[in-house]
Amino acid sequence: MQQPDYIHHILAGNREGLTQMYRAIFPAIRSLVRDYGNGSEDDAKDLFQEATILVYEKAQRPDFQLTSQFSTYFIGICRNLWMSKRQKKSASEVTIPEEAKYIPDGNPEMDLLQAERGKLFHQALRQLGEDCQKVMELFFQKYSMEEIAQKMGFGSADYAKRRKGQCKDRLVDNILNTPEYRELQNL
Amino acid sequence: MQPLDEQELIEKYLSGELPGDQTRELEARMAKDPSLRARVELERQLQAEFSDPRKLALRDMMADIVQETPSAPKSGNRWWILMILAGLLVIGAWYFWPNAETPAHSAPPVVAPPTTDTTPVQQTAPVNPEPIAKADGQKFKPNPVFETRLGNGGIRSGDGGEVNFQAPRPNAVLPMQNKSVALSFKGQVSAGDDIQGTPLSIKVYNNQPGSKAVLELKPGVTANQDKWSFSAAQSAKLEPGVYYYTLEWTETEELIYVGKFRVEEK
Repeated sequence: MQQPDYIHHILAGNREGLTQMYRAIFPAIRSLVRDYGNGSEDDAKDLFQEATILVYEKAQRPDFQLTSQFSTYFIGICRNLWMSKRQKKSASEVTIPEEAKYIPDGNPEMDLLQAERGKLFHQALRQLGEDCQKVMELFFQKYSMEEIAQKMGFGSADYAKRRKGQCKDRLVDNILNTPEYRELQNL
Repeated sequence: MQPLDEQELIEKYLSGELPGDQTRELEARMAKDPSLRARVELERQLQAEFSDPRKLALRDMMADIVQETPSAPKSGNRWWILMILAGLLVIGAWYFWPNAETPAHSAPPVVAPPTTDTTPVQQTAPVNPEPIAKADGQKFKPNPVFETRLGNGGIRSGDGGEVNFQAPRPNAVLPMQNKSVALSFKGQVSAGDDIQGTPLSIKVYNNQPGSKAVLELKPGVTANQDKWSFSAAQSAKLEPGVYYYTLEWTETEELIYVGKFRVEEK
């Protein structure tokens, strides 16, 4: 049966399509994390989100090509991520069963690093106050200080620059003070 | 023209806007200073992560979808097995029930086990019932971002001085009554003379990393010798779980204190 164009839904950020994708594929991801490592429902939800972002990033590369059904590909990405997580957690104790070995798609360890770093940065950003979040989003999207001042209703570009500095300091502090970030540095 | 601070220097370096002599100078420093190198790398990663607004929106959307969308039943087969087991239990309880005169049309009790004891089965409340934490451990999990910053530790305090919270006490357990929790924040901060122009905010967060504040209070502030006293109180609908509160300068959103409390059902 022809599957919906989930790649398009991911790239377009189509909420309805993504909800449909979650409903269709999540049960398989939940079984995966439960069967290999006794993972929880929350582990499965985290994995689903991380895999969606990874697919978004991969699908933007010019050489991206979907050679199987989307659900097969997506579950494979989840399997790679989950097994890399399990191996990282306890390299000596985890034996990966043959049927759960990596699918050939890029570098699972690099994907895991990218996924965990992205998640951590996102959490650190959302930990800021609403104003600071907005200032950071505009700054990283290359808006000028004049434009940031105008959009945020600040009195001047100088003030926008000062706020940008304060917010960035806080964002960086949030990240550096997270134990997970130190762990990522050691990967 | 003002000299660039470290942050601007790194930003301009990564965007290729730094003049050649300053680029060479920064690269020479990076070669000798691993912490500067790490800071430049972090900045590069932040730019890579946040430069695409669609990716950021997708992350937010997926977080909503996995929270809001009910997941499908785990397994159809197991559901039917449970139904069959429940049916067998009902039939078994009916068959073995000692009172043979039970009218056929009345539903047999399926909860109480068959017994010859004529003493009525008492529905006893559990002694010293466990808090909800046992039932929903997710809401009692520590938030790693806040855990490392409890108190004044690890916080860039800027001009903010010492903070002393009298309430809530460290790791306070607040009772939930009628689905409400009485919150009271009280303490002092030694912040010099300029606090009147820099009001404080108290924000309450749940334990989920990345979540927004569930409550924001503007405490009243009064001068008290060389310190400034602040206090705020509010009744709030908070579910049982671990919560964190922050004291911040409202204008700069700069954290000056992080505390923690638990809400448990009374």
